[in-house]
Amino acid sequence: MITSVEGRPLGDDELVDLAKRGDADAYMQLVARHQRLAQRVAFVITRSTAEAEDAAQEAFVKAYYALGRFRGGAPFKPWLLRIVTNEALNRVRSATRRTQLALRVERLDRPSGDAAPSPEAAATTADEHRRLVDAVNRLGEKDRLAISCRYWLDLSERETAEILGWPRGTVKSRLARALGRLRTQMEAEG
Amino acid sequence: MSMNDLEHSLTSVGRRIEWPDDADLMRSVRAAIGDHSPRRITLARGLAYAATLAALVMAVSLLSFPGVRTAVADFLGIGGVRIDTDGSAPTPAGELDLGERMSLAQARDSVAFEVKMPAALGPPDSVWLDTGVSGGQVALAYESSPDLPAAPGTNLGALVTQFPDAEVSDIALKKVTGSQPGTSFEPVIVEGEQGFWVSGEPHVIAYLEPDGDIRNETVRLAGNVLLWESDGVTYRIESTLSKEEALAIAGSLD
Repeated sequence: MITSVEGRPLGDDELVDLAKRGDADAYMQLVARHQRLAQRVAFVITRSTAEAEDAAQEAFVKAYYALGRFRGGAPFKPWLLRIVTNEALNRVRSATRRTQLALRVERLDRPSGDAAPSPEAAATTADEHRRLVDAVNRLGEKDRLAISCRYWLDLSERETAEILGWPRGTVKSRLARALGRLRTQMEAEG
Repeated sequence: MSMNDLEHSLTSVGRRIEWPDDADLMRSVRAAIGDHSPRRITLARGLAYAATLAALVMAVSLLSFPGVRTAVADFLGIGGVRIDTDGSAPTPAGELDLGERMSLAQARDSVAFEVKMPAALGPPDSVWLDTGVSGGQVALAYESSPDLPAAPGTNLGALVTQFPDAEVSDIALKKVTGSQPGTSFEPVIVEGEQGFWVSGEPHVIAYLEPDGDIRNETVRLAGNVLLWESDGVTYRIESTLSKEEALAIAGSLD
């Protein structure tokens, strides 16, 4: 791993600078750092493990050759993920109908990091979580993307806007609408 | 359930999503990159920039001789031509992210709407289909010629784009032009239909999608954009031409 003189890992911006000057190893560190998130974003869009992997890989290659156009000082992650999104969307749109996987909650009810609940409470929560994921899976594509980026991939509103290529206001209003729909669905199911 | 509770639940669910195992892409990406460097591209652009600068310096010094001025201005087509200052080499249509290149017949077979041709411009130099746009987007690219000055940074003089299912809207345009200094738009009537003339080298324009969302679209050529809609198809002409010239091209669409 390339580290700075002080031994700390280099930041994305420093690795981008090195990669721009032809340091492929520096770029591979960026790949290592972002490949999981890239594949998850692609999966949310394609709902296919294989397509998500292809889209992410292709995006990393394209991003490398596009580094010359990358504005120095801007964050690398959303810029990269925008390319991933485009790749994934292209695949979805050119693909013929095929089975799509839905996201699921883990079967194992391990504590989610909050205070350990009672077994009954854990069961209720697990059931509620499953219903919530099902409800999100039933949303329209754009609502699902917005919710997944914001709450499941831990991206900020600004990052979500950049990655999906939407104006920030659109992300805000779409999230509000999607949350409203989810709430209605959850309440309807009681 | 309150909105806060819902957001909280969504966040906790996020920690427990069963994501598919991610693949290690290191080997495949490394193989694809090989020993290519993105630097080469930058270097080539730098050289092209230097060449442009040299030509500009020469042109400007020639222009300072009054007798030569008119002749050189005619030759360079100054007025229509602007010098590219961002340092990139002229970009061919293939690098403008227009989709897949194909014949006009193939493009016509691939979309459900009728692809029209601007008689005023004649047959295009290349035809592109972008399937990333819902319903398909067909772009007709015209290389620059004496009558059709190249847009800065490219070898193209005009780009005529058509696609279905979007609405040309002043609300959408107001939103995006407001954030781009020097850019403005005005309503125009194109062949009896409501359209807009967006000038001042806009970088982004916008449409309304059927569900009311605003879709932003990057303008490919630095120049002016004529935008209108007719029979459910949205048309866009990008060029460095004047409003009147763009309207004439629009009027020749058949």
